[in-house]
Amino acid sequence: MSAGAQVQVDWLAEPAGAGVADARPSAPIPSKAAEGAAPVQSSPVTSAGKLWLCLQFSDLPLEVQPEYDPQTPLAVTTVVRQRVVVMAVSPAARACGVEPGLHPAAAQAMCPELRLERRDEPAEARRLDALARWAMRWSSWISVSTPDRLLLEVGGSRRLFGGLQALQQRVVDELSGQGHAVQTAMARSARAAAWLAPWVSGAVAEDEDATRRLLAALPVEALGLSSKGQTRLQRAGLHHLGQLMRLPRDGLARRYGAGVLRELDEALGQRPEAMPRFSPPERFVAELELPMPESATPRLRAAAEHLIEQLVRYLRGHDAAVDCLRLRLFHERQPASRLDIGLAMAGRDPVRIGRVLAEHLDRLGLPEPVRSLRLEAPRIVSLAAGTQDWLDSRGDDDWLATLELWQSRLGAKAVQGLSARADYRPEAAWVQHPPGAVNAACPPVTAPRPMWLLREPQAMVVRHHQPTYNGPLIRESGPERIEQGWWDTTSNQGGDICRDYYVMRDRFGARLWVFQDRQRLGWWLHGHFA
Amino acid sequence: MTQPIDTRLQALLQSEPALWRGQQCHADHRAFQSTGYRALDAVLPGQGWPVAGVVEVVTRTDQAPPLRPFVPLMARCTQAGQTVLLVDPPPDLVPFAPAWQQAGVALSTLFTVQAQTRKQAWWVMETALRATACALVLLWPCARGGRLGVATVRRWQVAAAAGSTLGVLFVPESMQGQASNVHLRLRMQGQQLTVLKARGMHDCPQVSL
Repeated sequence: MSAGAQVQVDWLAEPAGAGVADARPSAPIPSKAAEGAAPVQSSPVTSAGKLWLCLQFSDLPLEVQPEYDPQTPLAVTTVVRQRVVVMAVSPAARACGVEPGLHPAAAQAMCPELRLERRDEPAEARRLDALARWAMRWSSWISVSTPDRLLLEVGGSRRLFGGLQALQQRVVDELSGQGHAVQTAMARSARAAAWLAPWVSGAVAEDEDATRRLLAALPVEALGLSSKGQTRLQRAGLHHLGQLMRLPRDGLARRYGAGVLRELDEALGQRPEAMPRFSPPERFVAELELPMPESATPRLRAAAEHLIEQLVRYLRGHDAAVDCLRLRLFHERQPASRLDIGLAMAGRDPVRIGRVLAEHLDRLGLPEPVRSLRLEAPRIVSLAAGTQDWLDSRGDDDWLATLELWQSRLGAKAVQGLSARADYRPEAAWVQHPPGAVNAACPPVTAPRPMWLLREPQAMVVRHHQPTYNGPLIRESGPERIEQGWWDTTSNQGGDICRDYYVMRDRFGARLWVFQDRQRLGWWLHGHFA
Repeated sequence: MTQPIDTRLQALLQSEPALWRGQQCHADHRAFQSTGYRALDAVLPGQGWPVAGVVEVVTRTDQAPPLRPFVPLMARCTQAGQTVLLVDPPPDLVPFAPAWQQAGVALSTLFTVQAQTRKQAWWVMETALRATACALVLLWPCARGGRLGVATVRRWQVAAAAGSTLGVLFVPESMQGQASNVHLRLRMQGQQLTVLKARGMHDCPQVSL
């Protein structure tokens, strides 16, 4: 029996119930992708040419364990009905005779150097989620089936990747490069592919006949029924799916539940399947466990670059960009070190992001070596047309790099852009904002305005009812009455004002913008025409 | 003679970087840009601002930094999509956007950078001058006290040449007596601009803008 069926021990699907698929919420791992708003859409399987590739990660519980190596005996245990049992074993442990379902003590007795680990379900869910994201390069329609299975619609991508065999080979190669053992199968329906993968890895059932033939040879265990349901089938002398298919439909439904019949129909493509479509969350999180605690910046930088690579891949898949990032560095005992990084301009250039991150990393004092890193993009922004224009018109990456360098050393608010606002009140007629923010243009005013505005109007010394500034002033033009803002009670942008503005000239010939406040009666300096 | 002299000369120039090249000593006479004021162009060496270099503007403490001489250049640069940067402008003054717009400055490529310490500010100034995207950088290097040494100005000149950027330093009057190696030193008094110093000039012409 292949290892693939072992992880299905927990699927306590009741054949008499509403059907295996619906009963599957008892599956132990809540998938990130499945939770929340993953919409259930009817699959495209009914139309011709659709083909599902199932990726079965049977060794996932092992692979998420730290420092996993297939050559060392490792067993992962879980609790089934209040009993601790071995649920997955590494090839080396299997060679010693350790089998899933054993009690840990028995397993240890068979193989003294066996390492026993408890199952880490959240880690498995995270890994599966990451794999689903990775799989988006092969197909636009991905369905995550917890705990250890991905279903990809590859009918549309077959030509792109040079045929089904080539596609399958490339997927397997890339996954084994990432250290994942995978069993695959392709069939016209997702359910058939899922049933075939653990038993006939590499099977390709391109048409209905082939699907029927391959399925018929499968043992009934492939249905993933509860042990009770399985025993009932075996008592009736039904050992293969082929035997089930030959039974009269109504009898099959009556004896073993409508669920079994429905699943068979779905597998044979006689009934449309409902597949939740994987839609990655609108934020990106990736984690990287370091092989050993590190405090050397170059190593941390290399690790961060690895995460950035994942981020950029994710962004490309979504035609999106990021404008801020959060990096957490986890230590053994100390609380995690945090880095909040703002980018000058939303983007997804790995070099640029890497440079900013490196700049921040270099300046971070670490209390302790780092065990793992987590990169988070709290906000995914679309590459808006305006943003793109700004980037293109600049045409050079240098400038963005310089901006980001300043921001990372001086603080995110150190660099500011400037825009005019359509408001007559001087205090409200300008706004500073992060660079790159696109502000609506507003028509220029024609009345004289000074290049420099005083942040706070400055009270002027009045002599003989006339304002002075280093001596008497000569009136050049004015008054210009600005009476505005009766609606504005907050007064942080000028509030309700009534002022007469004048342009005056001091004894050096410098021109000043001066106003007489009609409400408070006084003279104030508000700007310099420089 | 097997090769024309031109080819041999070119080969020699390429292979010997240590060779002194006559054109280098006139390097700053080659790249100038109009100030936008005909009267000012007439008195400045090269008939305009240097494209890459450092200009010093001496200001009184009670005087707002005079921008008038540089407004046409700012308008031209920003409209061409080049960046104009204000580094560490006086904190009590705001570049008043409507006025800059009136003057023809495209605000989308105008930025301000505010530093916290003098060291930071000077570092920003150098990187800004080095950035090729910046065409004009207005700097307030003495806003946080400290002397502006010849070596610092020299560094900025090198940076400005590397980025072909014009840097304008606003320095207080108290610095006026100090020796300086800037290309140009100006003073603005009302509408009167005085060229206090320019390379290759001996008088101090006055221009009304």
